[in-house]
Amino acid sequence: MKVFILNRTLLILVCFGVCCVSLSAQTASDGPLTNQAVVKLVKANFKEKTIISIIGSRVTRFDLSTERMIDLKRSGVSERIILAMLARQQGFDFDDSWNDEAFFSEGNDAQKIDKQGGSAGNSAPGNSTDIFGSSGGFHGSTRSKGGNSASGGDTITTGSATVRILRPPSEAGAVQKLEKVATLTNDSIVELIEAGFSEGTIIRRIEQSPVEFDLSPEKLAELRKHRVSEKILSAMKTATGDTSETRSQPTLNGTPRR
Amino acid sequence: MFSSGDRPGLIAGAQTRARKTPAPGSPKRQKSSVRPTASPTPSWIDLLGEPPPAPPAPAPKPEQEIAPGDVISVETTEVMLPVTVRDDKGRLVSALARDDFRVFEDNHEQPLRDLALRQVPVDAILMVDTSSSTARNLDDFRRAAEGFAQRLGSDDRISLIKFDDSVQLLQNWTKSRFQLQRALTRIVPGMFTRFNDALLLAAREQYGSSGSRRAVIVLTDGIDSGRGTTLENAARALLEAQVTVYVVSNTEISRAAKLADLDSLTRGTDAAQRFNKLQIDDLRMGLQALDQSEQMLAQLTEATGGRLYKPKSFDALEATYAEVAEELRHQYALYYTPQNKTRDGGFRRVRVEATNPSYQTHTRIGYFAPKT
Repeated sequence: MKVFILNRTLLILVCFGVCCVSLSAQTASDGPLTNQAVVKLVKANFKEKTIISIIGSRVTRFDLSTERMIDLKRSGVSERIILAMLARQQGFDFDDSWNDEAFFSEGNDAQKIDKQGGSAGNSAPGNSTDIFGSSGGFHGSTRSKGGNSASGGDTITTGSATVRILRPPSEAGAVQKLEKVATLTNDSIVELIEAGFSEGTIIRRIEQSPVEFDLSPEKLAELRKHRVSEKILSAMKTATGDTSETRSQPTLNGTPRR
Repeated sequence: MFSSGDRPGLIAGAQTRARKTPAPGSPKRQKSSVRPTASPTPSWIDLLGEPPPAPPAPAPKPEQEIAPGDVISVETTEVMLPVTVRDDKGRLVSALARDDFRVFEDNHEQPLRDLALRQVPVDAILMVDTSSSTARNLDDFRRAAEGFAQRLGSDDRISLIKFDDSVQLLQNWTKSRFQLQRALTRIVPGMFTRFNDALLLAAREQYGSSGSRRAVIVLTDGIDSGRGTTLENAARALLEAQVTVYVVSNTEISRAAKLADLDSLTRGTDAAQRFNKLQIDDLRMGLQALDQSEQMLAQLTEATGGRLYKPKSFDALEATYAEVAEELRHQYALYYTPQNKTRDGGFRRVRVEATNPSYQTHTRIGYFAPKT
């Protein structure tokens, strides 16, 4: 019975804490984090690590089409931050495995993505709790002294609760737009290369995007002229379901070899 | 409210209007009579009720004189109805001919000469609710979706939309099963359920003017988070775009889980029940919400000519999606030219019957006429 009363008291305190935090959270109007917001943070000289942490903890609405990615890079956003944005958009946790060195050292990229996809269900934001639209936790301590009867005892209960209230980002009654994941084409790949994106970032983008590549021999030659690497070409072929070996590879003198 | 004038693909085939251009110098022609345009735009739930009594047959139009040199242009209007026919044992019937159908529009039977059956591919949107209610079972959905795609014809196209706090087109129309497979790996769980928005956006933005049959197959519990559009608006958009909705509802699965929890909580002592009151109340409210949602989903699928499936476990998803694919493969595309050619944007209630009385036919409840 005593335990019951203690639990009850603790529950009431937790509920009180939840209400207080809810009220304060309601007053805060954090919209989703956008490309522009990230650029602002970069320009305000926030550390890369801090920005990545913010990206991981906020509701986001990024536009990571080829053009917007190039805009981000031109605005001084580092590739590491862009990769964090990509990871957030895909619902993955961003960690060091997303940087280029680690990415290429592991060899089988597709398998790695699959692994991440498989764990996404556990790690993605919003899936860590069953509480609809909120997540949080509490800690508390209870100590009591007195007789056997709970009513006659002196109970001191302390507790605190932290609750993060999340709401749908748009206003009531507003119909959102259908967000379309940008489809990558040969031209998009060339644009990304010309904008100076690294091989790893481009391959990530290919793996996570709908694609409409033309990989006919003529177009392949054209891509190679634009300095599209064999690793990227291989990723493009994988994305189109072409599992054949690279049909031709350039030699040093530019003559294709079988 | 939507303007009916810009509805995509409202009428299959060409837009209709009989127009006569008098030859220069010809005498002024008598205006053709136009049926009264008392066509309200009722809510979709109103549309599910009993059809209005048949209006009196329109008076025959006075014949118009046609002078030599007049240019007569007649644009054909066709309405396409996707019709599913089942026998008295619930099996799909797929060998019927045009003569085996009767079509009624606002209780007026349409002449048989205006009916046609055609082979038309289907454009199917696979939609998945990625909120917490289905998030743990996305792998089941992926398998079911792949199986579904395998069962469609080679001309059929699929696109993939996921919805939680946003509505995202993960794959635009494709005939490639490989691209669909890739797109399925891009599904990640989220929060909230913008179900109504997802339906509305799919109807408005994914279907252009293609003459294909249009179907949305959605996995959800149908409980919208609010703050977006209403189900009424979404249903209207679906009817306007002539989209058939099949819902694979996980309400039965959620209900079983909630009932089990409720059972264990209400078996305890009075004290324990008092302690768990909040949770017990929450479960009861959840059960009520599931009941309401199921009713709405049943109305939605009924209105659009689709079907509500309620698998008892996520393991049954593959079989359920296979059943939907089977239904789409056996569906008739029944075309007819409506007798009522008034372009008033009003709703035309449609009924299809099979001449064999033991057959059950299923199609959408009607269509919105174009508006000039």
